[in-house]
Amino acid sequence: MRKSYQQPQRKAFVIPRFLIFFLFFLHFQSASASDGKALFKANCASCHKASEAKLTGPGLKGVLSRIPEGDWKYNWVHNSFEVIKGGDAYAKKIFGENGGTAMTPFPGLSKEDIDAILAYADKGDEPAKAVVTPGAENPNGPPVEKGVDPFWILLVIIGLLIILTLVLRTTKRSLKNVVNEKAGLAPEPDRSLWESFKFWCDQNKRIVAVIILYFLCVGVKTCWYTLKDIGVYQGYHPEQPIKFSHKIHAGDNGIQCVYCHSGAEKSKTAGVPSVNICMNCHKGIQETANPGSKEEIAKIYAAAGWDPSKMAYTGEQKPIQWNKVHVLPDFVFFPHSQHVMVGKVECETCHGDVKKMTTVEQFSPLTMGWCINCHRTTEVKMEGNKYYDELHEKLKKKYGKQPITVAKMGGLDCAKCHY
Amino acid sequence: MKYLVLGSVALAAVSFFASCDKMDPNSPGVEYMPDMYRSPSYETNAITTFRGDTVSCNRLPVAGTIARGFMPYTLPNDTMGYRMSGITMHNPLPNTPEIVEQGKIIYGKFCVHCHGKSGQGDGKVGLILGGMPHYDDAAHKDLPEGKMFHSITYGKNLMGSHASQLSVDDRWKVIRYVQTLQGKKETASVTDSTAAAKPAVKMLKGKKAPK
Repeated sequence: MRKSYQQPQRKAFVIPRFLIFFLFFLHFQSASASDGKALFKANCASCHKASEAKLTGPGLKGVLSRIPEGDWKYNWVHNSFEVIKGGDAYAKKIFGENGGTAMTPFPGLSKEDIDAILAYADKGDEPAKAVVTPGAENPNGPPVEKGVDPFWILLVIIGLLIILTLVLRTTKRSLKNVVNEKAGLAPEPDRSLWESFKFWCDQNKRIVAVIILYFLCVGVKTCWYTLKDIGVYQGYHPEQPIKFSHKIHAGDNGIQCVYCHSGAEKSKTAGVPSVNICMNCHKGIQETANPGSKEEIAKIYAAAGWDPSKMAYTGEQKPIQWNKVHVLPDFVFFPHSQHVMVGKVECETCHGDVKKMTTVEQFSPLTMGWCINCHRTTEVKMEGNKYYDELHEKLKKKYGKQPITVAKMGGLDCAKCHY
Repeated sequence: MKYLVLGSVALAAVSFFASCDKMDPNSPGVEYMPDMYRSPSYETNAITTFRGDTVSCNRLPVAGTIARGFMPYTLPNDTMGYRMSGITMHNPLPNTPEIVEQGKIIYGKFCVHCHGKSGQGDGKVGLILGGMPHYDDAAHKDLPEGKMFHSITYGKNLMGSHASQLSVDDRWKVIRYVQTLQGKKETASVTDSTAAAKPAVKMLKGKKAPK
């Protein structure tokens, strides 16, 4: 009894010990590989891919079978230019193949580091493809509508009610005729729909007057607001030729507004960035985890004339026709630089929280009343702004302790914006 | 009476269809007197027809045009140009706290999303791209300022040219700030700043003269 109880216990102890040893062995084995991956990511990934695809430099899959044996690899990584100058045939060949650009020297990498990196890159490491589940909601586009539009349900119900009314109308007349016949009265006159409507109106003049008054009021109110909206495009958010999302770029990745709209600080227009600014990042980012990203980024390449397989420009450019969202009439002069640099107005004040917009929407009404209101209420930040030094003293004398708004500096003059 | 009914129905119908446009996100709405909103003068980023072709209003100036006061960068965009820039180009701006502060603001707008706040390549976009240089590692610690200027002007490896976003002065200001990230101290002394303020262009000419 005692013996049979002890035996399995001893076995159970032996198996974990073996497992621990095996796991330790596994860990030890993978140590150099993971190290190589981390080092590769930190030092090499901006120019090389661990696959066959070319980036700035060649893809490094299968590199160990290509390069010369011995210390060549260490010398090359530590200072490739010296190797090329030394007249090495293979060094000269790859220097020519990659557009005559010397590799950045990495004197800080030890021989073990280089071995680990090359061991990792040689095996190749394809980036994991984004898994697209069918029917998943596209985070870039509008949500996919499902089911029947309630408008059509309403229309069908209205249609059924009209048919029902017509049927009931004939039934009512025949029933009335039966009653009239029994009572010995004349049958109901056979009126058309329009005639009976006029007859009903004639009988109920008060109700008709109230209904007309109601429609008149609603009509006038709607007309008033519609007329007020003419030329005001607040909320306008058109689709763009490329599904560019400000949420991803300015929001998630924290790219500053002026990085792309660099004209905002220097010129009248903030400017739609030219495609070379897209390419500053998208030379390296050809695809993201967002579904449809590859097709959208390919549109940038088509516009810039960039061949991602050769990592070179083809010279065939095709401008992108973006839809302008914020449009001011040509008879008003609005300079971005004055407002951003001198007035220190934040972009968000007029453009809203663009960092959360997938398609950009016109946030402000951009009406003259809106401009004037801001000029009336905004206090000028004059402290520490040399531009205003002299003027500030004069205005202080004139207005005393009153806050100095833009309006007090002539911000309401016609010719300030219209000339 | 009859006209009143017809009038109000027509009013309601007109206002309904006029407001319909607003429901379509691709239509801005009704425009009042477009001829006053759209003048014949060319506007930035607009398109126009030129000899029958549809062309952008953002035309390039005639080849060889130079803006007033602008000095073109003469070194070529190749390995030799890169090496030359490290020898010949020097920062014309003094190494003062004001310049460094201005450089820091520009760095925060144009560089930080890749190169990171402290120049370790840990910006959000930098982490996606991978392999960003560390400003203070062995390969970049002693990078000459001319090479930095060359890289910002033409781009280097994955980095594209930032010449369209940063003026020549802006580039030199950023370089002053990057050097503080590399651990180089700024000097506030006036004598030092005047010595460093030699125009880079003159230095270039001096190098080129003896052929």
